[in-house]
Amino acid sequence: MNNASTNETAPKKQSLFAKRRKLYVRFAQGIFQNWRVALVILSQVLFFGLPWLNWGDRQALLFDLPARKFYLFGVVLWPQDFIYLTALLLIGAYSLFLFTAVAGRLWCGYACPQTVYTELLMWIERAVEGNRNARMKLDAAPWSAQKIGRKFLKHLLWVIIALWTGVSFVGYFTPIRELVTRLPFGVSGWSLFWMLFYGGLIYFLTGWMREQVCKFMCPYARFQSAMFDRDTMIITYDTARGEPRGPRGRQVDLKEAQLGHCVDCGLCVQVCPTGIDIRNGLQYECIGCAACIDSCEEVMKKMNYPQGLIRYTTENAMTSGYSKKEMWRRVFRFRTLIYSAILLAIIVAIAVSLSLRNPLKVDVLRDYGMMAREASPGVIENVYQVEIINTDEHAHQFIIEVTGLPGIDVGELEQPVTIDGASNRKIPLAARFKLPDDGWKAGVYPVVFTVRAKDDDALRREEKSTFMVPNN
Amino acid sequence: MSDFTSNFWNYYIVILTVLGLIFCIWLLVAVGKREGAKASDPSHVWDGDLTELNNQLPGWWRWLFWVVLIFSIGYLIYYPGLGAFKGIGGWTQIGQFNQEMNDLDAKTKPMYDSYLAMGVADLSKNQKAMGTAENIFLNNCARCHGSDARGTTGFPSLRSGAWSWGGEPAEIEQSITEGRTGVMTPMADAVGGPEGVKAVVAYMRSISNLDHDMAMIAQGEKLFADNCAACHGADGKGMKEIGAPNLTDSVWIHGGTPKAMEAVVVKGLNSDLKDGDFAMPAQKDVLSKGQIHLLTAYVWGMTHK
Amino acid sequence: MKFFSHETLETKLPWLIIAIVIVISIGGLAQIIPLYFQASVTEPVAGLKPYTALQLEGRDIYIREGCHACHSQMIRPFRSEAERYGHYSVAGEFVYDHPFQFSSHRRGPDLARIGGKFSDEWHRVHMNNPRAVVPQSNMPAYPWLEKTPANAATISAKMKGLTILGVPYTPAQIAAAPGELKGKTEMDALIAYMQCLGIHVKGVR
Repeated sequence: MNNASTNETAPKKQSLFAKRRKLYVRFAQGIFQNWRVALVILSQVLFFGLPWLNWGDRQALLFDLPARKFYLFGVVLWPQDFIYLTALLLIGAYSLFLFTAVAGRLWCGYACPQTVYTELLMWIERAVEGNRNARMKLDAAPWSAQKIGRKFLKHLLWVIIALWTGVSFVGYFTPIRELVTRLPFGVSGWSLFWMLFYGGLIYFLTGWMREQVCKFMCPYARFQSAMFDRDTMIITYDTARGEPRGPRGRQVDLKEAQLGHCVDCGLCVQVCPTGIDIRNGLQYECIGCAACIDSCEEVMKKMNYPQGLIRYTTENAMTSGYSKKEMWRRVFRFRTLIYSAILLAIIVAIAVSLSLRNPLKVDVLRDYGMMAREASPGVIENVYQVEIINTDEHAHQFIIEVTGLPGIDVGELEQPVTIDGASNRKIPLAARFKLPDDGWKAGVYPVVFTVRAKDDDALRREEKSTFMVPNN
Repeated sequence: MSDFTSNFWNYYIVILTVLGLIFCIWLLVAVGKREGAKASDPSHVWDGDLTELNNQLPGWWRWLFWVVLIFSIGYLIYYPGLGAFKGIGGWTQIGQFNQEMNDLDAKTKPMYDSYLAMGVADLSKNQKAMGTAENIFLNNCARCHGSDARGTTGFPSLRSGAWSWGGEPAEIEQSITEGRTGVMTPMADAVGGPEGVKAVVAYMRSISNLDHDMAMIAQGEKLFADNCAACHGADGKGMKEIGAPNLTDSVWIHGGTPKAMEAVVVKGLNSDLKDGDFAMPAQKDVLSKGQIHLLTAYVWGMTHK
Repeated sequence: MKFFSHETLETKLPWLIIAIVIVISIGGLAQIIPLYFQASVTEPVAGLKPYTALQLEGRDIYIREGCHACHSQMIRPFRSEAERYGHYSVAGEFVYDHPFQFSSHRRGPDLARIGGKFSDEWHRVHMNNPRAVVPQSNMPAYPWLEKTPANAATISAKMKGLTILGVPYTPAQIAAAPGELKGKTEMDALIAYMQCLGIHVKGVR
């Protein structure tokens, strides 16, 4: 309905707010588009598929928020393992730094959900409404049964995909196999809300809003440019080679006609998902999708011109005329090496920490109200709650011991203590210390509680506490 | 919560709020009517070359403002906000809190109902029930009685088998529900000063098989019969109706050394409590019937394996 | 130049300041001022008495040592808070607090109902070295409190000042205040303050 040309003859009123012009994005074909397709398929197979995987008799990947337990295949994470989430965020952040420093907005162009779902929904659009010209014609045409039918079909398919994304999303937080049996109305209020919310986001942000999200809403889009430097590979139009641009026949001698390699076919603009002209140089709207490279390469091939009129290249390479090899060598510069080193360090740290992670956690809480008591003459008792958190999936029998003072023991505690899998229990106990006959100085002494599983030597943990000997 | 000291404040809030809303609506309408500025007609110029146009706000912004205004009107109708008007939704902060508590009660009611139907003896053998009871105990009772329920000086052990107020399930349940405050008046003068105190303690130690001064027993026995037997019984075995403990066993809540015992005789216990103070606080308004029943079974079970 | 215009406001700074003050005051005028005239906010709960001289001195030590930087005194009406700390705080408990110590940080636990929960002896050991009774505590130690006598010189003036703010101290109480602090340490004062916090709403969930 929006025709681009109606706004051209601007009347006397001048508004600072440009109306959005709907983009009809032409599909590019080429190596970078293939990469994107591959990443869309890979990410979506993972996203839709992972909740359906089972591990033992439970869902392999489940974030059980009400119970505050995260199941990741063989690992059960408790709130105490929150540090891993921090590590994950750090990995995400440094990966973004690294990839952006090397080759610009790779995240935006290939992996961002906004890009991925826009791509997915545009495939449907193309399948239902046809290619760019057909879509423009359809929008310009008056409403007819056929037009309504096509539009309806497109939105129906979009909504189905969006809703299924919502269901899959919620499926990471409530067991999906049970969830789908309760669809649509047996689902709890909040589950339904998040399904509709997440699905609605996908539908509106990638079906309707599209490039506006990247241009006006996304903060990452803006600050990634701050990570560029003169050796960052960005999508660049080779002005020196391309200009002066203009149409020409295939046999025309360029020198004679005083023309550069750009045939001004406009394909690079038509394929751009944000509607910019890359020939105007680096712009903040550019999400680095490389569709213009793909489209231009095809034209260059047809014209028998060398490849790479639009290509990934660096500012330094352009101004100093580096060869490809020289440019690639500069990928390994101080900045990227630092990013890689930090990234590697975090990954190694998290891997080591996860492999050494002790599924047994122990908290020793000394009784707050009571300090010490004389159970019988010369026998001092301090009372503790030993909380044993067994994050292992199986029940274990635990032995609690205390050391640090001569002859100190855990008194009349009935051992061993059985704790079920993935559960916790507070064990109240009195540590008992018989004062030696030659006396003992009053004061606070460090003691160590050892909790170990009877059947598994790896399940063992020591926890420090204090023992108080009162004044007499 | 709109218990203003004067109705003036009611109108004060209503007028300020309503005027504020009307002002916002007027502003929006007035600005919405304005023509877009012409480039040749800048509203003013800064620093010689910075031209500022007096332009219309973006459409989405104005629409959002309308949405917010309509929302706020709906909000003021549904929720309390306009002075003393309580809102048709009847929402209050405390109501929400009570709802939260009631939701929990409703959720746990079937469980507690099933426990209430069980006798204390059966319940104390029910592992799942005792797991819940242990948590209730640790959260509510352990601060004084200790996590292991063995108490400390001044706070009785619940595992000793000695019950000042009786150890039958009904008596324990009563102790938890209504609380207990045993009072003993200072006895130093009644028994005739420090000598008398020493004698009474010597006698008490003799009847509970502790080392004592033989020479003072006869005097102590007489003083005990005259002054202490009324509550602790002629045989010193106590009286659970008033919480007077048995003095012939080996359990000494306030310490079993001669010094500690003498201190109790001299100072008494809880005699200086003011109205509303307590030794063992009543739990009837803190814990539910089901929780108290569960605790009773847990405490009773400590001495009945 | 029209007086009431965009341009006047943007070019005449005093007018801009006045206009901004008017606009941002309206929220406070409607929301804060009427609170001073609400019975539930201004009337003490049953049994609440002004702080004794010792408690008042303890309160000033609490403020001096910056306890409010880590401890709140405000139990919000949520189940999670009521289950942990006790009955939610009500405004009537704070009418003699000038200023109140609600605070907004909880590096340590809320103290609104700490009164009577621990023995004086426990508090004494805890202030001298928190790790002695709570091994995992990250609270600093305050050993000097026990060695510093409570300041009896200024207490009467403080109480007089509070009477201006509406705390009903009698002249007799003010006159007796220095005597009450005689021989007491700052530790005694702080513990006396701790032990009177939140004890007027008790025995209910």
